[in-house]
Amino acid sequence: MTNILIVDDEPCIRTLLRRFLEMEGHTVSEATDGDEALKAYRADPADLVLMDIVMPGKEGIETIMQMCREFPQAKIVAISGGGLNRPQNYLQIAEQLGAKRTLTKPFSREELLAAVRELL
Amino acid sequence: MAVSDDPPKPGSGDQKLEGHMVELQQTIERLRMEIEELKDSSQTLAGREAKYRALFEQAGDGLLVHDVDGNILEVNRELCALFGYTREEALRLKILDTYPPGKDSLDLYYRIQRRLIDEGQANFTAEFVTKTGARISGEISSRVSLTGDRKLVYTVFRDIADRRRAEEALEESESHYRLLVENMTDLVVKVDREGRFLFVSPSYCVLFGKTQEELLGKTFMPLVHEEDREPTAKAMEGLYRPPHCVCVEQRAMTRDGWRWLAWSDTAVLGDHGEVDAIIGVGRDVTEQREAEEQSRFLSTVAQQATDSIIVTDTAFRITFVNQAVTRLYGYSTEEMMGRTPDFLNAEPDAPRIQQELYDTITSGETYQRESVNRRKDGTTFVCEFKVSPMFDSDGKVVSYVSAQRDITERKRSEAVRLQLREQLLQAQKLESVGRLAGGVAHDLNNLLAPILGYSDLLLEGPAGADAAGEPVREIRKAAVREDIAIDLALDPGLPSVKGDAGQLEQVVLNLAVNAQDAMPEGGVLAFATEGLELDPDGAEKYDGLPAGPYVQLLVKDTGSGMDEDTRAHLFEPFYTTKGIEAGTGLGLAMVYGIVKQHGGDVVVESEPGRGTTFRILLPAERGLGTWDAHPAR
Repeated sequence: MTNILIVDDEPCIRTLLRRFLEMEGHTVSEATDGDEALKAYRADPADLVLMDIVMPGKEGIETIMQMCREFPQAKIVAISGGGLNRPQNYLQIAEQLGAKRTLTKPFSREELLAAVRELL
Repeated sequence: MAVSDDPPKPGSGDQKLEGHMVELQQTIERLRMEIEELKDSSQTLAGREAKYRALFEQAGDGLLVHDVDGNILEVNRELCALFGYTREEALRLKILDTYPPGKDSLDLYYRIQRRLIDEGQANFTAEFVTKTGARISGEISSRVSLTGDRKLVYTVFRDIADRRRAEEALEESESHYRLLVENMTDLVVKVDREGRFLFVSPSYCVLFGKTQEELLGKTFMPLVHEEDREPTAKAMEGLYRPPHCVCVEQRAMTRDGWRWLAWSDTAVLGDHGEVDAIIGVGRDVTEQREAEEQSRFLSTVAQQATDSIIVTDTAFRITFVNQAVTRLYGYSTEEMMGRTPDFLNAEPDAPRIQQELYDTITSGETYQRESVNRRKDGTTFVCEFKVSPMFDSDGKVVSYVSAQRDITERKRSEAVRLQLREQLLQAQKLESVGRLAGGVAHDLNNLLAPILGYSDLLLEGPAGADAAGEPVREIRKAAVREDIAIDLALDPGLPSVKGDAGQLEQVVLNLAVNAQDAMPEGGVLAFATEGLELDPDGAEKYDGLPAGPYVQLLVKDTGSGMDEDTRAHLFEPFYTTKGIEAGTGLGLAMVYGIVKQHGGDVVVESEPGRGTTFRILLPAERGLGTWDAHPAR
């Protein structure tokens, strides 16, 4: 059974992701920003991390950088709905910093599950 | 004989006188004959005497004659020569004067005198003193002889200094060898054909912690490591054929445990060439072997290190390269040996770098830098290298070692990292600007995400099939956003254009909005800029443009495209294919106007279903910015 950590400041997105993933039989834990995510990952390294980029507190880019430095094997999917003119800007950076996959909001259920399957 | 003094008488007296005369004459004759005889015999004695004297003088040994009281009566030339006296001086001496001072010599003298008297002769060896006081060793042979009524001692003195010297030399060299064998750290043994010890040097006894007595007569083989016994025995078979010497290395159980001993064995041959014994000279080579082992290990390390290692002599000629070097440069070891490493450097100012390198390392310092180096196949790479002098135990530089590493990949990822950091900085800078617009997009997308997600869930559930399905599908459709990727191919060496920045921005914005509208399902919007030179033929394709340098802007979409009719009316004011709420129909007319105002031209290439490309040419300003000419297409 795989353990997936969802990092997003938006409660309804966390709930949605949790539903999608639990339906597939995954165990899910949640964090609302980068600091919480790092704390949770250090305590129990998840098999996969879904990481939102634009978050209050510690945002996703810095969190991905730090997580990959501490845990080079960490599998992270960076997710963004933008914040700049194009969400790809952030996601490109996230990918070069160690995110294994990226996902643009809004994404369909299939897109999400495809990304998860690919990394697990 | 009687002689009368009376005068002779005449007459009868004459006859008597005559008778006397005859008698006298006879006597005289007899006397003369006797004298002759005497004369003869005295001549013979003198001859004999002369002969003996010559022998006496010419004898190779010293000869002397003295009486029983020790007074020297006669000496020969040799004796004078040995003792350094003239004959006259010698004859004034007593025998005791030739003995060295001291009680011992006095005792000897009287002992000899006693023996001469008792036995008539004495043979002995003793030390004597010459005129100068020097000591001289002699072998003495004396004999007493009665000459007339005198007892005289005849002595032969033989100088034995030479013999003594030879004997002493022999003794000395023997003691030298003894000292050598006793004190040398090398091991010396002599064994018989069965390997039994006939001799063991003290060093051997010390090493094995045993006494000579414990070893002599025992065989050496039990001391040898089990694994080395057979090779040792095999090697020693070589002693029975010329050149009768072998070298063998073996482990032996010494006082300090197993040690490696290297032996050089030589057979001692008898008169008929048979092996009588074997002399072995050995040495503890354990440390040496360990050092060799260590050196082999280090050599393997150097050989297999991932970094490239090049060693040169002090004349900078390559003496060693490891496998990484041959892999890195593509040269074989043979191709690199003996060359100076300059040929690997591909920097334009390689000679200056080499000089700097030589100056640094010959002063005993380490040199370090990055340079572009060339492989055998001509390709180049960024090389990080460090050259250090290597010193021997006396602190003298014996070689130079260069460790090199291909850091092309690292440089590349450094560049990427740098670029990333710049992007990040740029993103942060833009964030404040884009926060409003971006924030709206982010919030919107965050809203759309659950709408889309839950629509999917609903459609998969029972609602998907019944009447509710239709509105859910509509909700979902509304949530799915177009996805347009933007592709930029901007010429960094683009020349400048003289114009109104605000107006030109309008041109780009209008074309972009048009393209977006043409791609409701998403697609790719490409912008490309390029500088080009229009020749008169090329200029013909554009409405009224003179030949010369231009800047070209391409705006290309992958949207629905246009038919010919649409293309014909494209730039007319108020011409629009969009609904009344979607556009004013002024956008492209404005584009056309602005481009024309700037002395340029705009053409469109499009077909239904194959996207649209707007090509805009604006005259370039020479002397402003860069100009990289391309032929017009």
